[in-house]
Amino acid sequence: MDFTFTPEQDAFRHEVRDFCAREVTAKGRDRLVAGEQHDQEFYLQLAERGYIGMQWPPEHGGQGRSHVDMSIFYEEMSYANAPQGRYTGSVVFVGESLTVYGSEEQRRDYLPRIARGEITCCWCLSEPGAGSDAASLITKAEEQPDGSFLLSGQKIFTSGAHRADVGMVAARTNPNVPKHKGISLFLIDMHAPGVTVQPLWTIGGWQVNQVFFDDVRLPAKALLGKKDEGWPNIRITLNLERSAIGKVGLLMRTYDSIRSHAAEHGAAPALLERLVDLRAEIEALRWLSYRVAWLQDQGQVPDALASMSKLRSSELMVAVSELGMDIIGERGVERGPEAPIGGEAEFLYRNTPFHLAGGGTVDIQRMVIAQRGLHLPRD
Amino acid sequence: MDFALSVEEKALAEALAQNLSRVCSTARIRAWEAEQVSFDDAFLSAVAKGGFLEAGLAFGECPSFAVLAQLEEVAGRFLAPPILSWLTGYAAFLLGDHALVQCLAPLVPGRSEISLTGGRISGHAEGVPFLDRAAAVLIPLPPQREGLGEGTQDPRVALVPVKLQAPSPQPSPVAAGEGVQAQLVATQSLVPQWSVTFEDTPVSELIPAPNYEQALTRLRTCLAAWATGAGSQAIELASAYARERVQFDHPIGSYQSVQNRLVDAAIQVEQARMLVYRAAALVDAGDDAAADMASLARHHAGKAFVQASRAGLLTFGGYGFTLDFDIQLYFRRAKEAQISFEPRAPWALAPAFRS
Repeated sequence: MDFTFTPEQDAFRHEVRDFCAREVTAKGRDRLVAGEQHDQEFYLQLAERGYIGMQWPPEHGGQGRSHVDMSIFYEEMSYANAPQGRYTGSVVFVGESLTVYGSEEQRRDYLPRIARGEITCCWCLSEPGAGSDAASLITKAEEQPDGSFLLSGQKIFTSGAHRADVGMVAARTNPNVPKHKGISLFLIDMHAPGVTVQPLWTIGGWQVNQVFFDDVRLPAKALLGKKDEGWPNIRITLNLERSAIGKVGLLMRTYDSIRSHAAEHGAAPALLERLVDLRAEIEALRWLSYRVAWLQDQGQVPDALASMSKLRSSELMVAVSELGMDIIGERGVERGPEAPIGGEAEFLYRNTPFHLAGGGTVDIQRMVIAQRGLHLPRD
Repeated sequence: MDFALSVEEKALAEALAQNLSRVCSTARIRAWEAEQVSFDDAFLSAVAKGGFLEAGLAFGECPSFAVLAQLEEVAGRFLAPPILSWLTGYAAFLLGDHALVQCLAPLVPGRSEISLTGGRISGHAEGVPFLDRAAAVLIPLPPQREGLGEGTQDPRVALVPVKLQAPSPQPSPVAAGEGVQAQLVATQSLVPQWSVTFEDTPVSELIPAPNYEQALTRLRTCLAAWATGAGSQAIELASAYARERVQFDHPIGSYQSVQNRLVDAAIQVEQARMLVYRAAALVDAGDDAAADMASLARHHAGKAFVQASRAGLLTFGGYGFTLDFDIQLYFRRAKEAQISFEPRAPWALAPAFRS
C-alpha cells in the first residue's frame, strides 16, 4: 500500500498547476463559472496540450496516461476554477464509455476528434418520466428494414446539448420485454434533421436542456454496444460519471477561501470546529476519489466507492457553502466578485441542487452503496 | 500510488487476525471486562511472539509505519486493547528500546499534571491504561512542562517503576510502588483505566525525547487506525444482521431507512481509513505534513467510530441494547475512544490545503 504520488505524478500536477496559473488566472477566467460553462478558446488550449482524453492510447488520440493522472488534472483545474466546459460530457460520459463498450471503429472515429477538441458530446439519458428510475425511459428507436433506426422522444436535463456535436442517447428498442431489457445506446449527430434543443435555465445560472427527437434517422452504425442490451452499459457510464473527481478541487478551493476569511476576520469557536470537520472530510474525500481512479486503472468497476465519492462530494458542497456563508455573516448572501471571498460560497450554495441530483440523486447513491458495497438486499 | 495491500502486508495482517481470533474473542473481552483486567498473558504473548510489537520500528523486521497502522486497524476490528498504538507506536518509538515495550503504562498526553524535582516526581494522572500489566509508568515531560519543577525546553520521558499490589478492583486507592497510589476508574467501556497519584516518587530513568512530537503523530495515527477498524467491524456486524433479520416479510436490510444509516456510517469509516493511511504514508516519508494529517485522521476516525457503532446498534433494534449481542461492546467503546485522548484536533484554525 502506498498513499503517495509518484515523482511523475507530482511533475504532472505542477505542469497543470503552472498551466492554470498562466492561462486561467492571468486571463481572468477564474471568475465564478459553473462546470458546464464552455470557453472554446481555452478548450482548444487543453486539446493542444493533450489534456483532453489524456488517458486514451495514442492511436485514439490520447497520451496513454492513467485515471489517476486525469484526477490530478481535474483537481488542479477545479482548484483554479478553470472553465471545464464540455470536458466531462465529452471525455468522461461519452469518450470513456466508448473505450469500455464502443466498437474499435467507433473509437477510431470519435475519440481522436474529441481529443483534438473538434467535437463535444452530451449524454442524453433522463426523461420527464424517467429520472432516478432511468430504465423507465420511453424514447424509442425503431429498427427499419434497411437496418437503420428512427428515433423519437424527449430528453431532459441534457447538459451541453446546445453545444454538442454528438449525443449519446439511450432509447427503447424493444417495448415487449422487462424495462431493464430492450434498451439500446446510440451515437447521434446532434445537428441532424429532427433534433431540437430547447434551453432550461438553472438557478446556478447555466443552461441545461430539453432535447426533442422527431423521427431522427440513425444509420445502423450509430448503435453503440449490442441492441437491446444497453442497460449494463448505462450503469457503466453512470459509474464513470460518479467517479469524476472535479468536485474535490472546487471544495478545496472554497474551503481555503473560507479559511482565509476566518483567519482574517475571526469566527465563533463553533464555526471553527465545523471548519476542522470539513478539512478532514475533504481530505478524506480527496483520497477516496484517487482510490476510485486507481481502481479504474486496475480495470475494476468500483461502483460502491464511486457512489461514496459522489455522495459525499455533493453533501460537502452543501456543508462547505453553508459554513462559508455562516462565517461571512450577513454579507454571506451577496453574489458576485465584489462579495466577500468573491461570492464563492454563495455561488456554490446556489449550485448545490445540481450537485446533489446530477449523476444520480443522493438516495440513488445510497442505494448503490447499500446493495453493492454492504451487500444488503434489494427491497 | 497503490491502494492495495502488498502480499507481505496482507500476510502480516492476516496473521494478526488469526492470532486475535484465538486470544481476543469477544468472550475473552467480556471476561476481561468482568475481571477488570486490561488483557491476559495469552493475548500479550500472541502479539509479542508474532513480532507485531516491533512493527513500524527501526529495529523491527518490518519498519514501515503504514504496516503498524494496518495492524492496529486489524486490532480495532477485534476490539483488542490498543497496545500497538500505545506501546509500539508511541512508547517504544520514544524510548527506542524494544526491551521496555511490553511492560509500560504510558500516561496519556495532556491528562496529567506532573512536576519533577531532584529526580523525583509528584502529581496526578488520569486515564492511565495497562497499569495492571506494567512494570513501569512512562511519563512524558514535554517542553510545556517548564515551570513545573525542573522545567526544560527539551522534551523528556521519565520512567517510574510500578507494581500494582492488587490486580482485582478495589474501592479505594492502592499502593502501586514507592510513592505511587492507583485508583481503578469505572468507565463506559469497562476497560480498566487508573487514576494515579505520584508523591515524591523516585524516577528510575530520565530519557531525552527529541522525537516527542513525532511520537504523538504516530500515536494519533495508530489510535485513528484502531477506531477505523472498530468502526468497520461494527458496520459489518450490523450488515450481516440486517441481511438475516426478517421483519414484515423482508430482511430489514432491504429497507432504505436501515440501509441509509449504515451507508452514511460506512462512508465516514472509509474516509477515516483514507486519512489514516495518508498520514501513515507521510510519516514514512518523513514529511512535516504528517502531524496535521494525523490530527485530521484522529479527529475524523473518532467521530466515524461513534457514528458507526450507533448505526450498528440501532440496526439490531432492541437486541442492540442487550448484553447478548457483541455490537454493544463496540458502542460502549466508541465515545471513549473518541474523547479519552484528544477529543478534537489540536489547532484553533484547521490547516489550509494550499497556502
